[in-house]
Amino acid sequence: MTETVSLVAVAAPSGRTGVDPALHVLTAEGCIQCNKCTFSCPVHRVDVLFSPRKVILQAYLGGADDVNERDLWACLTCGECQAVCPTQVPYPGFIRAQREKLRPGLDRAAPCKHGGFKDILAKIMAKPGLNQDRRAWIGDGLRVADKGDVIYFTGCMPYLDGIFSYCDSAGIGRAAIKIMNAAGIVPVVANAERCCGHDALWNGDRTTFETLARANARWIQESGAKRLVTTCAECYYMLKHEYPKVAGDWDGVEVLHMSELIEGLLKEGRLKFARPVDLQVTYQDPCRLGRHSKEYDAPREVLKAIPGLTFVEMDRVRENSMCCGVGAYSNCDAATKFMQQERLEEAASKADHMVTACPHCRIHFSCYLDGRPVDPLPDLKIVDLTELAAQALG
Amino acid sequence: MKVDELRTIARLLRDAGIQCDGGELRGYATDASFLTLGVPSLIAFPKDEAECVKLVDLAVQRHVAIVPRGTGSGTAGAAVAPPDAVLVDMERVGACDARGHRRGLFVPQVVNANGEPVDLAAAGPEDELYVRVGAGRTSDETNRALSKSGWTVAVTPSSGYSTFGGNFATNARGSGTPEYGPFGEAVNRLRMVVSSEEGARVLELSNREEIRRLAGHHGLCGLVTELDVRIAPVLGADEMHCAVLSMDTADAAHLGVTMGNLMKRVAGSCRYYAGEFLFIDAGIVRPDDPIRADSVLGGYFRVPAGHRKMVLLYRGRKDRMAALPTIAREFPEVEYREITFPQFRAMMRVRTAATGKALRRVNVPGCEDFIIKDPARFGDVLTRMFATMAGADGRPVGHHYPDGVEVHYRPQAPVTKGGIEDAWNLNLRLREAVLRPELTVEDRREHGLGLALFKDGPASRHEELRRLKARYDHANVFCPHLLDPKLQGRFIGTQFAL
Repeated sequence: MTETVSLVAVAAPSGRTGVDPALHVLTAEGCIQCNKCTFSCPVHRVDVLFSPRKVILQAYLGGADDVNERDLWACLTCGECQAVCPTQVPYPGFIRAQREKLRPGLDRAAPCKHGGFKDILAKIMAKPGLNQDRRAWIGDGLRVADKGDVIYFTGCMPYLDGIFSYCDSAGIGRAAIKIMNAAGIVPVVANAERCCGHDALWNGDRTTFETLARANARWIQESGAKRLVTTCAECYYMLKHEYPKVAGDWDGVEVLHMSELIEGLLKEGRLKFARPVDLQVTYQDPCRLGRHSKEYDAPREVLKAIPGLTFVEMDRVRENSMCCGVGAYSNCDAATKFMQQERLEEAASKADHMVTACPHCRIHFSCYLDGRPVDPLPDLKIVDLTELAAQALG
Repeated sequence: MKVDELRTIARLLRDAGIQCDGGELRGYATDASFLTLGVPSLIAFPKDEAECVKLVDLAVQRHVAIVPRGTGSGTAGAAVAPPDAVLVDMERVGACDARGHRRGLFVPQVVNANGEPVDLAAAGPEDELYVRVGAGRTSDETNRALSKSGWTVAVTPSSGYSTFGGNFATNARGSGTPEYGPFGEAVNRLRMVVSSEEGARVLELSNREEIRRLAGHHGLCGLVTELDVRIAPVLGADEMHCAVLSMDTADAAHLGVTMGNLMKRVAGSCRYYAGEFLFIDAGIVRPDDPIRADSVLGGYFRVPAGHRKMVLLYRGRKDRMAALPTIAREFPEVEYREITFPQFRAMMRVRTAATGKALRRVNVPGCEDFIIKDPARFGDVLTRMFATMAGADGRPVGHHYPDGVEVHYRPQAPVTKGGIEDAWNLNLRLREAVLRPELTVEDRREHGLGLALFKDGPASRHEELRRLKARYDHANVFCPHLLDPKLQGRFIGTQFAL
């Protein structure tokens, strides 16, 4: 007997009203099945069975619910697919909407790595009446304030060193404050701050994200500050692009990534890099700062302003940059390691230091270097842009 | 395919170390043609020539048809497999490291016309050079690798992500074709896994005439595993001439006649790398697309009510494009402007997407690659096209090649079954209206004798393909369905569950 599989239209579930929200995202732009998404996808290069194009076609044919759990979580939501898509099909947005839709029915939540600490941290921070000391990491000699025009939104950085001992994440914060102090800014570091909700949102937990977003938006607006500065690409993306959708437009508050603040301070003459930093560096565009926020230039301008520094671009940069291999801590597996190997080899072929503007990129790459690399790697160090800039202050 | 047989083949493939998948394969039910023969039962992912040999051995022994597929970005339907065949995804062939992971970056091997290695740093711009690449590599990634040396792949289809194997199988045209011909003309040597009655054979072909004949074989003859592909020096900004010529009017016939005659003059007096055109309408780019606000390019996206605007783009070497400004002056209704290469690329990004771009619509392919051999008939063709598509969404785009004007059009339908069916029927009416010898219009020539339109291709080419197939595919395992006159593909859009 010959068994053939025919294409049969799948009837919409009875009682369904309106358009499926995830599918609505997907059909907002017309997929032309050109396959550029799949070819650009870093996951597909390692795992040939993962293909955004295939997922889109399956969703068209069977409905968004046909996306299996593996494909749902394998996506890094890095946006490289959307960047090359001729019709800008918002694949990361589709995946996010689908995770949101399916999460309540899944046996377990997002496959969050490191014991689910980011999930747990977000949930703890979403609780009312939270009492935090978010300044313990700052140390002597740095000035912060309770009130002022500039808020330094630290994100989860103060908590990261408890887990990722191979990265001094708090060092990024200290560097940021040092730079701001040098420019005459005494930033607010607030105990009222909570997680930005990035991982919650991208892993489908909209309730937690919205709780966090409203709580943060409230104290920020009430503070009267004019500028909200962050050293984290994920916090920046969330504060700038996602918070206004939930908590309304920022009323007179400018959201800045630290690289944008430094660039501005240099242009205004309020900051000077006096000390040469004799390094050859290349730059890793974080997905949330680059493709998701379109900020490619400010970090590069900061690097170019550092005396003694030799800046060399990798081959895949800006919108074609390759992801660090982990999105919202929900995917870290053998495929991730091969992606990181490939990207680090590319970086090492250009420089001895790879600079990032996101503490999470630094953690994920450093994690790989600290663990068991797939192949031998040349000596390459991962450094944060803000720390590098602080070195140049002298 | 029988379930037991499917399982056996899948097991044998895995035993041979070839990755395969026999699970949920609806995502492979079509290519960019949106045509389907059903859902394939099994897909294999060989990573190199050795695995292709094992695959063909197995196909011959088990009497199973195999259908090679590159990225599946073709619009001919040739990368679509019937359920009883094994779909073979070739995109990893010659592009993987030892572990089988596809590397995004690679160091290209460059050879001369004799196949001897060449140091690209020491090469001159007039040298005839080729890059030796696996069939799974693409123009975009190869160009990235070559750009450091100031070279580029000579013929690049608008889908820079199509594989070289796919480009050869469809004999794709694109940027560089006016100078170097279709893709098959730019291949100097290739390796193929073909079949005998006993199993696989590996051939290395360097006879250019034979290679030209094989170009456009649509997978009928074997699995191409490696090619020597012509490369060309990247032109510097001071050597390059980019220009945009535009015209808008309410009279479609007048627009077509004017622009058609202009193209005819350009073909006779200029040698260009790329000639592309598009018709502008409100939906061609998003309302918030930055190009609308561009001080130079933004004006091309403003069209007076009731008018049609055609934008024609050329790129070539300055010395070979010298006649263009003079020709443009012969057509006072046509606005001529020289633009920079980045501006040309910005317009080409719009052009590439324009065939399928549709907000909250799906595009319904079907009218791809009408070739108008005499550009002077462009006005008649446009008149018929616009009359047929009156009220429908979408816009024609196309290429200007020295041997004719190639037009693509995809109606854009609301995401409903009825809407998609209406658009499909519009395609059929459009074919009836313009595919006429008196208009000098032919359907796809080299680019596309695949599943979608095989029946419409010239009989002489069919006969040649049958001869080639008999010569290379003794066991008749490669895409035998394409030669079945009873083959009936379906448009997958009518199956959408939306």
